[in-house]
Amino acid sequence: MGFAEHVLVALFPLTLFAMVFYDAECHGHQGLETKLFCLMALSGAFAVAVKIFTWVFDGRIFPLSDSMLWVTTILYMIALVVVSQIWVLYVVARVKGALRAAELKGWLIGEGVLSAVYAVFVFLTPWTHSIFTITEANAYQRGPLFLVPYVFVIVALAIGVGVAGYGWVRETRKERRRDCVYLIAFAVVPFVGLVVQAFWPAWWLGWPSMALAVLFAYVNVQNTQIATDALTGLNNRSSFDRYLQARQSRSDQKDCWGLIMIDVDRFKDINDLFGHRTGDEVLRSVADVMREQFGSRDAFLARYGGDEFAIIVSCSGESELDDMVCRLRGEHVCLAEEGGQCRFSLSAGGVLGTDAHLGEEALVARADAAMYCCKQQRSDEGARRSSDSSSEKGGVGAL
Amino acid sequence: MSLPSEILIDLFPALALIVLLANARAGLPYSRANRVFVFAIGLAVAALCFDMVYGLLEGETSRVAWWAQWAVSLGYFSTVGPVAFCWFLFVHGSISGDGALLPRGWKGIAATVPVLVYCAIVVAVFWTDAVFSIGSDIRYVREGLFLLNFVFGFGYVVAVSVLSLVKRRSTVDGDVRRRCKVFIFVPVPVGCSVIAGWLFGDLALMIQGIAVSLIFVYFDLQRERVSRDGLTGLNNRRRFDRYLAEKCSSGNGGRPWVLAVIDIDGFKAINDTYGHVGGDQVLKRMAKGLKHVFGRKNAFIARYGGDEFVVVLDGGGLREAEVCMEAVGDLLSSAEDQADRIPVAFSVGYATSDSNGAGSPDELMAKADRMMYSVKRDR
Repeated sequence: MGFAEHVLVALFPLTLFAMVFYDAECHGHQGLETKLFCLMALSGAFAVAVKIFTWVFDGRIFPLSDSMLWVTTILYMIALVVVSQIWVLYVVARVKGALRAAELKGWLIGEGVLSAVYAVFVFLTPWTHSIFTITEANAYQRGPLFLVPYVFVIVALAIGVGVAGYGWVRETRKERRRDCVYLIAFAVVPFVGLVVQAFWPAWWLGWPSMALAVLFAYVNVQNTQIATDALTGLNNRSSFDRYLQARQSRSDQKDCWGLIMIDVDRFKDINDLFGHRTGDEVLRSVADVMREQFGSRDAFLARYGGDEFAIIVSCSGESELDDMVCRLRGEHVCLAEEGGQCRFSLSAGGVLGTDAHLGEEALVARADAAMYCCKQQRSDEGARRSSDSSSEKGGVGAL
Repeated sequence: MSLPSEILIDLFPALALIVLLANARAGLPYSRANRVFVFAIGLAVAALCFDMVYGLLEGETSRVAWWAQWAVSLGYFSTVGPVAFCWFLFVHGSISGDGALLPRGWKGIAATVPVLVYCAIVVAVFWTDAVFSIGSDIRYVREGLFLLNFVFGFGYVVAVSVLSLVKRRSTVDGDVRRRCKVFIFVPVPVGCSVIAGWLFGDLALMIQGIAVSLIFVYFDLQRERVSRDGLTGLNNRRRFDRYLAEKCSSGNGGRPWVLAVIDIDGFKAINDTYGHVGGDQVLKRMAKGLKHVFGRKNAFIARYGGDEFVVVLDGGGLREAEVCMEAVGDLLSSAEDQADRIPVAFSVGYATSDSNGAGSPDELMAKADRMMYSVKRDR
């Protein structure tokens, strides 16, 4: 292949890496995952750019061209492996839900050591001629161990798949499991690409397929962000509306499901007394409670509004739904604030989705009414209790 | 070019576009403009495939190959041109207020004529060989009108950039302005790839450039959805947190700015009395009021939580923010807005960036929050 041809094929992956990097860096959510992702896209772009440089010197003889070819090729060999190592870190961070780099310490050290050994091996190539060598005509030629970088990258991809698979087995929450499946899927394309390129070098599939996987992963991350509420990580209102509509239109006699609305009792007071940050904390705890109770069921959890949450859950019938609602009513969220502990109870109300052919709004209104019924009872009880001057420990009444 | 390169150069842009196509089908919000955009992606994929098949057929000598080559070239031309037209429709639909794909009246007709002429010329190739012909060596040969068709396609793209530039100057809607900015730069990748193809020896690289542009625009569509609150169309909490963090850390170049936290009074009661539909309506009206008043200013508006909104007024003082919020209040209590008879009142708290740095986002929010609640309690 000539220089122009090489460059033309490499230009698209380079552009794609750069675009993904720019978009994620300037507009992405801030956090460890995004940082790792940006780093991956950036090092991908760097690797392709270096690769293009190697072609400038490859097969041409001019002053210093041979040493430049050595330097750029070695740099490229290292960049290649760095990208795959960052991929592993990214997968681990996503599966573990890590927020700080310190949580990945073990992985960082392990990968660092592995990369260092590899780097030394690559740096010695000008003397050992193991991975590649440069001919008299200043042309790159595969050495006897040319497969080593490929193996490194493929093993890294395999480790990523293994970690994601482990997450899939361990994880009980539906959306996290789906995440893991996607992480496995992302690795497939580069895997195929690299195997093809290792055996048929004319098919330069490695980097284009890598760029494609990064695009795939990025779009997927965006999709998740679009569908979820940033604060609680549950589905947001618009995905709830869409899901409810879909569920209603496809529901038949066999499919029995219920809609539960949840509301934090006297949430306004929390915001009033402790400010928004504390209120946010409470909302997050409510989301955790919901995940704990419904995570392993076939349930769709969403934040409906400010302090309102909604659950669409498959159930066997009215009695099971009532059970679930009762259990939610028994739940409360604890909040440690200035020495004392406050407990906030949850009001919940449920309605069977197959009850009648109601519209979506009417269904939500019914569940809401059931929830308000519960809330009303609660506040009546609370009023009675406080008039009895009963000493409830840190209850809502204590506010 | 060797066979692998011929294929790779088209295969991966096509695959990238297919990823976007699948994603768009699953989730892009429905609008006529977005549908046209998805259609344009489909056309670009088709054009890339034609280009790929063309590369495969090169070097064959049979009569069948000649016809196949002719058909493929025709297919290429009949997909590339319409991509440019779809681009025009999409942009017009995205930035015109009513979402119409074509301008009204004679402008609409003038905008359609070039694509009709283009199609007529392409269809007529069968008899005239005006745009291209296939030589006896199964190679594509450019003919006289090739450049004309090229000009038609690029004409639309340039027209779109001009349109966006004009719209960006005339509109006050921040979203449209931001979108226009993206649209203005879309011809850059296409132009670059054309020039690169020309430099690297007579290569047709335009379609790859188009793919890059489409991906660029798709990212922008996704980005907008990530940072947008579905109900009110304002920025969402995620976007606001990032914005505030950047604002606080950058110091805003020494210019003062004000953070206002707005909370609707008695929103729970509204929800109880009028149901969620009524509550949603109130939120939308509030958002509309904020957009109307702050749209003309250098302000960032977001929905913070259930019934809470935040505004960051850049370069303005506390007094200006207060005047604006009064204007919002007047707007919401004005006669025409009271038509649906849900009265809306709100409380506002402010926090200003002081001269010695702004403080942390948390501190600012807490400060504005405290003020807002004390105002609310006094009511």
